[in-house]
Amino acid sequence: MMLEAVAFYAFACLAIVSSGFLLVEGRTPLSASIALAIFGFSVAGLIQSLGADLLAILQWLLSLASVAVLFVASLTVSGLAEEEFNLPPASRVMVKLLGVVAAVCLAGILAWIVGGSFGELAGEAELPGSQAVAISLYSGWASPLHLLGLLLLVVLVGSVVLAKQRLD
Amino acid sequence: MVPYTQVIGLALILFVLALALVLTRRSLLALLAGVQGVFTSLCLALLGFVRMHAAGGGAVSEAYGFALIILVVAAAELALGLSIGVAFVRRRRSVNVENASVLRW
Repeated sequence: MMLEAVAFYAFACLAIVSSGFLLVEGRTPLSASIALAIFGFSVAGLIQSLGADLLAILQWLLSLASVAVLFVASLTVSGLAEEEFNLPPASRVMVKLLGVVAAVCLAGILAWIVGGSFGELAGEAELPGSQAVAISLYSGWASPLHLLGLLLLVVLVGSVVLAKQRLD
Repeated sequence: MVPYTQVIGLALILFVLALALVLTRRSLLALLAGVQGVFTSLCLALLGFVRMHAAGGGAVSEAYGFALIILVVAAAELALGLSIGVAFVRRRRSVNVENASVLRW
């Protein structure tokens, strides 16, 4: 239990720092991709620390795939992206000031949530294991699951059609 | 055990950061990263609400199926968005979304 809480807070800090880096300092596509990778993996660790093993594995796979695809896309548009990722110098100072104010507000909210009476637990929550999720998916959720497969097929074909060299 | 209020609060913070990324950046890649962050924080919030529901004694297996749908839709959105982005860059030689002023060209 203690290890679970420590892992949760460590991954929470990592997720907040990486998303803040992505927001404030992620100027080049490479640094943004790395920050997004750290963000996705830390959220996967968060889900794992909460005991949802199946969702954690799916989040790991999704993070890996999204970062790989984003990195390849950033290589495709390299040169263009590095120029336009930057903000104009005048607005950069204003954005950093706003970022400091927002970070103080977020830290206050986090301290209120962690330290206040708001964090009282109502009871021990029993989360289902992978077997219960699988039974649920293949009984009540069978039709949405098939529709998801169809959606992924459509996305696969649509992505190939959109990304190929000639559109006509 | 981590209280569900902390999980929901953390999801709220990550959602706000990702939404700020979407609203402040004009780069297509940064926008897609922000949308990915929004979907991820939504999934984390759903997990927090699942824990809240489980603490009240409710059945939560169905919520995992819903979270699975969110993850798959996020993956589909990212793949399709990046394909549209690659087509956009080839035509406009730019990743600035303000250049995308028409829905069809």
